Amino acid sequence: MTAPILDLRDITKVFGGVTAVREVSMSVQAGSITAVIGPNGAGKTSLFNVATGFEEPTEGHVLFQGEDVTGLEPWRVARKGLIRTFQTPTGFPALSVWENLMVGGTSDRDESLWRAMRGAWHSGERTTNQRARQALTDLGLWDRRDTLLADLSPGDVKLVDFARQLMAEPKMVLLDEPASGVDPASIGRLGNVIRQVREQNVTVLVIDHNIGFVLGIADQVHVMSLGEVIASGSPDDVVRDPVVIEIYLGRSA
Amino acid sequence: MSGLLLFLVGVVTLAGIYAILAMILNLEAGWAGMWDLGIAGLLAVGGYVFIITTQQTHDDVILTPHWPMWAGVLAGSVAGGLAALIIGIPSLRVRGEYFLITTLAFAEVIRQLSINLGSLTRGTVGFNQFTRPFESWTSPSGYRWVLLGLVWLVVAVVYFVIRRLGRSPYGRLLRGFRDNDPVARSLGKQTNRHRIQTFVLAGLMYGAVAPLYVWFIRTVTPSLFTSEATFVTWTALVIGGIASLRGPVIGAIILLIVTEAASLVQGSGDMAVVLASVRFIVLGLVLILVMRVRPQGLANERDAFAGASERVAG
Amino acid sequence: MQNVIFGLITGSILAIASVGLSMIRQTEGFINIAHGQMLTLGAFLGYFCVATLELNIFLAGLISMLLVGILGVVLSVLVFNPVAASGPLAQLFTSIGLAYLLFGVMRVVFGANVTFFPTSFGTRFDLGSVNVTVGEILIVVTAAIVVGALALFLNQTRLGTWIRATASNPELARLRGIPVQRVSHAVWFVASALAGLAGVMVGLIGNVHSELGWTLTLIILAAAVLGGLGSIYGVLASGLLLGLAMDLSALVIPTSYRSVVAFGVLILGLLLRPQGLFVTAGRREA
Repeated sequence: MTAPILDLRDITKVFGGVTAVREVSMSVQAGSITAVIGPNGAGKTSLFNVATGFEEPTEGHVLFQGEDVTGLEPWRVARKGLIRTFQTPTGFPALSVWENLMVGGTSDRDESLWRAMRGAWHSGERTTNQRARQALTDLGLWDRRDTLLADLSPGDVKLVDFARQLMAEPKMVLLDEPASGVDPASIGRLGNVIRQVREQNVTVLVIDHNIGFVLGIADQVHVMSLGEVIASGSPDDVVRDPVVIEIYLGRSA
Repeated sequence: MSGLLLFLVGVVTLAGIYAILAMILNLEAGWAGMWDLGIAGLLAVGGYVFIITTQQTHDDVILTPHWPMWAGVLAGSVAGGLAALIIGIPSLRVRGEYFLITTLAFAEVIRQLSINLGSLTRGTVGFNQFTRPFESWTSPSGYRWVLLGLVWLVVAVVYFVIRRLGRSPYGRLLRGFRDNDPVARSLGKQTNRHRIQTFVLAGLMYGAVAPLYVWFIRTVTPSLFTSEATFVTWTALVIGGIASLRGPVIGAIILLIVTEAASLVQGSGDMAVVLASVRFIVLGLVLILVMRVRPQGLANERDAFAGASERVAG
Repeated sequence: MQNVIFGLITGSILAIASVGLSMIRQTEGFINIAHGQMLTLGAFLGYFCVATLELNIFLAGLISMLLVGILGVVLSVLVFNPVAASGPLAQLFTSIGLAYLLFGVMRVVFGANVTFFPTSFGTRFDLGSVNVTVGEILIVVTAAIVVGALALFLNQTRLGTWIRATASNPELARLRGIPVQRVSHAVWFVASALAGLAGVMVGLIGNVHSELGWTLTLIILAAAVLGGLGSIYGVLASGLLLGLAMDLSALVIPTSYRSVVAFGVLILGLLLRPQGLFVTAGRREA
């Protein structure tokens, strides 16, 4: 058993008197698609925020690829290869689809003010453009590349956001509710994209409410409720777990 | 007739100056999202450093190195950038309205300092006898044409510089994190560093163009750098269309023509105060009306950046 | 000690002026830059009442408050409400436009000269170790009374409770059936009336001129921001604090730096506590 790519150890997050996350430990194996599900207020998003540096844990450690990244600023965590998406707001609304992807894929050097003044960013831009073109063509969005993100349907927006985050060439992506607001027709496309991503050796950790969607793509599922992990296992095991069933009784998926 | 012409030359020159200021503001506010109300302060720093370093010796001023003009412009620019750095580092820790007010406060502090540090700035008396570039080329009355040409040359230069910056990956990133900072950071972008760099760049530019303003008004006093300069620049930008490319220039031209048109009416001494006040009334009305009827301005960001994907070859 | 008294006087005026700005920010959602011009208007109206109509100062103050208050409501309906849908920045720039409009109009109507109230409150006398005029005592006392009345109004009356509810959560207030328009009118009236009163007070102790609005707007803004924009007691406290700071600093630095001190305090305050000095819970932020 190889070392996990992401290792959350005893993460506790308390703010304003509320314990959002209580001593949660979770390991994610490289190359897997892992899901975290649970009702609202279970602490899933807080866990994501802690893992990516958007929040500091009250206690506990985050190890990414064996390195302790606890409390690092989000941009540093991202540069190590751990990229996340957001539930809302999701992207750069005033930028076109193409521009959104380009931002995701442009290097720090090409984006510097110095290079802008000298106009020395063209060769890097051409390379990034080729990657963006490939990604957009695969998604069937290349002919709409000049549409502003604000003018797209919610389903397409989610796809563009996902594609943009992938342009940053992550080793692992954390997807925050990728299926929310997406019409049923596009959910299938979303699932395919996630599987393709795994084929490119990118590890995926997903949170979502849509249990059907999650169970269809995940290898491993963790169930959270009120800040704690209450069950873990394969999708089939989790679905049959009596504790899990009780949590979801009467709640809409 | 010639009186009207001379007057128009003055208006168009001043419009050019404000076009430059509005373009710089567009970079930091329209694209990078920093709502800067401290423009007058940075202009003051640039203007005063320029005049102090290039002026002849006065008995009441302690610092008169009497540098050549180009060195003074450079010094003013550097001073503007430095002031922006000093103001920006603390101010950028707060957002939105608080940033607005902090920059406004800094500008007012600078103005008060310019009044009180008389041994440097000659206080409210200021400087009013200085040579202007290329003055020996024409007669005194013809100089206004030289200045007009100089100002609009700078307008063109600034336009192309700003456009180049806007169309670069750097400019694209600004317009991205302006609207969604967390996503930008989730992609590994150091947005704070980009903000402070943009703010300092704006300071360098304001400082560099301040001498144009000085040469036009022909004096350097604290009253030149009240918040009015800041608000006129903002109004020009807002009318023209914030975050667009041509908006700042269009807005400045329209605004200056409209507000200065009142001065065309000749009147007796009693009317002088009324006429001076009309300028403010018109400024106010224009701003109110534009916000009411077309708050996004005349030109827009969408058109300015359409076709971005075509500009990449390959 | 003398400077403490001066500080209290300045602070009282600042507090009254800033409270209104903060109320508008909380219930309407934007910073009204034209607030300073309402103060100037109050000063001019006060001057007009006392000098031309030869009314006593109390009547002048009352009339100023009433007229400025009503104007505030009228302007909110005519100028601000139509732009509300365009967002707080559009409203902010509208208020800047209105400020210039009012400034220009007042210059035309009242002239650009400096005047001051011809009142008989100018005689100084000694009260213990300090030296004051009746006018200055009047200002502090009136300010205290007004603040007390405001607190009573906000806490004990139905309209006041509605205002507080709207200030802390406008959407929720609307959902709970609070008459938002009536609250808005009330807030604009009270805020503008207070600005007018502050203007009369300024006229009482100093000069009346058209530039008043601009110089004071920044300091009022400083007090409001320092106090946390949303916290009414915070704003009152910071108004007093700023006034004291400005006048006490005169002991160590030349008085021409008074406003620099005010802004220095603001900048320092914002750096140390970006949300304002007195805010405990998060309020409506930009």
